[in-house]
Amino acid sequence: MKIWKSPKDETRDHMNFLQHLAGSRQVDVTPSGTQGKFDTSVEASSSSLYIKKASGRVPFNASLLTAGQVKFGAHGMSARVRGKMDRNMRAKGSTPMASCQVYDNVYAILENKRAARKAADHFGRPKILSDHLKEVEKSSKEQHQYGYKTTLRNAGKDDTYEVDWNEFRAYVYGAKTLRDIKDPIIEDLVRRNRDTVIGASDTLNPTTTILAALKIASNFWVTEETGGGIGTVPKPPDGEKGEDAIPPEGLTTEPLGEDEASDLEDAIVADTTDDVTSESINKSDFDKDRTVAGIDPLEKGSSFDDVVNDFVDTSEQIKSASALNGRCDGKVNENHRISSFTPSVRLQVELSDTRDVAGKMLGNSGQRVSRNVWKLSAFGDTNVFDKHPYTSSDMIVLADCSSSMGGMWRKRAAEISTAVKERFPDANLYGFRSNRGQSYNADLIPFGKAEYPHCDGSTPLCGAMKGLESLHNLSEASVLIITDGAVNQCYNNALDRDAVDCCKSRASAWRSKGVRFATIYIGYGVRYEPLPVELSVRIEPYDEICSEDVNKVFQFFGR
Amino acid sequence: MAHIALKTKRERSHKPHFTPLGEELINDIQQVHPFPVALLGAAGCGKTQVALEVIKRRGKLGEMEMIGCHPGLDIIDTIGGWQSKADEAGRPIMSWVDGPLTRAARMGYSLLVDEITRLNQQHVGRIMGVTDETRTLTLTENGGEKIKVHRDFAIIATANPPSAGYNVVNLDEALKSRMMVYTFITEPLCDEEATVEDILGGDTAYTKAFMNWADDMRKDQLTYVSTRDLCYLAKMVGRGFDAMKAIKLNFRDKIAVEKRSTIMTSASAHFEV
Repeated sequence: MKIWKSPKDETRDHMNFLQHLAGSRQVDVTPSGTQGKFDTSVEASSSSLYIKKASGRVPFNASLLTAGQVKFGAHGMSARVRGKMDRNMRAKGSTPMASCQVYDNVYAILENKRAARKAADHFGRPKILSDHLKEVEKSSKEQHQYGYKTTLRNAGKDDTYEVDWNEFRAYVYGAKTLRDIKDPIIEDLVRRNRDTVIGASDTLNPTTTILAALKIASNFWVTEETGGGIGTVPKPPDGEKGEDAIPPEGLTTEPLGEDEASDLEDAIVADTTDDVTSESINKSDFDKDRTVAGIDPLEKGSSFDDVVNDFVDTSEQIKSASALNGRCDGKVNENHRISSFTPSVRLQVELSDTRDVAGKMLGNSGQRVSRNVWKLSAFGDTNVFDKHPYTSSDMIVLADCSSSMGGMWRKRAAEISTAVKERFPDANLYGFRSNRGQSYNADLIPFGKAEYPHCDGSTPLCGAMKGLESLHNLSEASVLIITDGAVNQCYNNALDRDAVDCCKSRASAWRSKGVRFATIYIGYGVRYEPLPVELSVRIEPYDEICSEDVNKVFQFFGR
Repeated sequence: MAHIALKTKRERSHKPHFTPLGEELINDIQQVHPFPVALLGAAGCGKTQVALEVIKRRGKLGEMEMIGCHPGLDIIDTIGGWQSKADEAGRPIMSWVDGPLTRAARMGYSLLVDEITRLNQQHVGRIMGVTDETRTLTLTENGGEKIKVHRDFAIIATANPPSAGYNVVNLDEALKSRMMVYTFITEPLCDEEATVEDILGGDTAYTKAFMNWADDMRKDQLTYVSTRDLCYLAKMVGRGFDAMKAIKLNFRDKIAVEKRSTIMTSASAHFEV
């Protein structure tokens, strides 16, 4: 998830708010090409949301309109429906290239209107909707193309047809009537699906817009794409468009009977919705991720509407939970080259100073005297020291050994880890770097006092964290992460997952288990990506480790 | 957004409003009384409210004992211990003082054990004795005094959940098996909308703004607003704070630095209409 630069006024951080609502999808803003500040729309791919909006400063309400369109758009479910529709059409006839484009455009237009309506209601600002409707109407009259002009291409045939979706949008927004539509394809689509379009124009239900797009695309595929090609449309029934209806130029008449076409169209809609519903109910991967997210499985008899609404409510939670089940991993590698190092005189002085301060509370090894101490003098029993609750749990140092940590920064990291090991001999020190085979898998390299692993590879922090889960009982553990910057992209299903998000999800999960975090960032910290930490120490590139830093780390482990 | 429809304190119901799930849970817990119960859920989801409601409906709110667990909890904080007191002449004498567990077991009170998953093994051992069939508490520290646990003594334990991705709770298996109800709470137990509306004196517009803002914040675990936070914010608004200021004072600084502007932008969207 991208973190955008925040403005000075923290109540106007639109981009980060937008990204927050978009969840794991990347927000990508492009100018809409119109002057209308409220003439915005959102389209989606599998990993990004493409926002078309007026360039420059826009009113707060216009930003909230976009935020609402991002929040309420059911683009993920729509993509699944489109995929199933494509598969069903291929199984029943020809490749639905143009029909998929019809689906995309119809869905985007209907969904943006629905989401605008929801946004106005959600933010309690009716002006958002009225301004949006007004500006789209104005833009439609001014014949702005708005990026809705697409070329439909028939698979396996040479015929293409340029469609002006702006006319469809104008019809949906009430700026044009059927008579005003000039584009023959749009005119035909609207005429044959008038009830569906009208029903979906004023809905708040995400299922309605998905079903409308599916029905219209199926109808288009049956009546045009599988017939004589685009432009081969059935003749309008008498009186449908009025006596002055002029058949579009160059179009031939129907290749399929109406009943036959209607049956095939219904079959595609029914098969597609059934496929999506049964997949959502039965797919075991979904169940696993749902369980991790703490969401009950869908009931067996759920309808398509239930599935869509469930998706809108839970998809982000499930996605976040599935990030914890990624392929990345960390394994111990004891064969990695480790070099010894001599702690600087300065560090030794710091250690001797800090020991006395912290040692009043804990012994040198993190032990404290128990109330059975009288047994020491009476019976000579030396078993009179308790582990303090904070030091009885695991103490772990996870030190970055990627290639960028070489040189001076490696020395700083080594000094801190040595200081921790000196003060708390039970602490576990691990270096981590990418496994040479797969960059998202981490090697965990155990090392000791006055040692540091050789630095090479990248920074798979998520894999390293996952590896620690299998090595230690992390309940109540204290983990110090020493690194010089951001984690690397793990390329682990990169379309869906972001390495920083993975680390944050895992860190958040650890924290709710009682794990305490501290981070030491060494270097320029340009790519600094904060984890939810209790203590965060920044060491500038040319600064030595100072007693304040060491003390902070000791207090973190031993309090 | 101006808050105008505030009821007087007397007009407010001051009752927690539970969701159907919350009500069902309360009934279930009452049905298994006096057997031990453990509720695990995220902070602020209403576990403690449910526990208190159970005790309240039993008419025993005044006789409740409570232990807030943490790793450094001493045995004196649960069982009790010898403490010095002054006698009539002002001379120090040692006397035994019961801890919450002993007092509740002796008198038949309800014991609310908060954050039980953070309890040390030494305490767990003592609790096991009072929760199994023997129903006996031996006070070795007090000359081996044996207490037969009162028949009305009941334990209701609450804890934060094992996080996503972890299937094991750091709770002794033997103690877990002694719990007659051991359940994870995955959704708020209190009817947030009804509660907030009651706090705000029936101001539906303000309530809707709060609920929608919370919905935005719950898109991400890092900005998750709990039922408790929501109620605190509503109470602050009820006391005359502007919602933006209430959020700034109560919630903003609890959240990671990089998310604060998101919270405040969302708050501005919902409340500065």
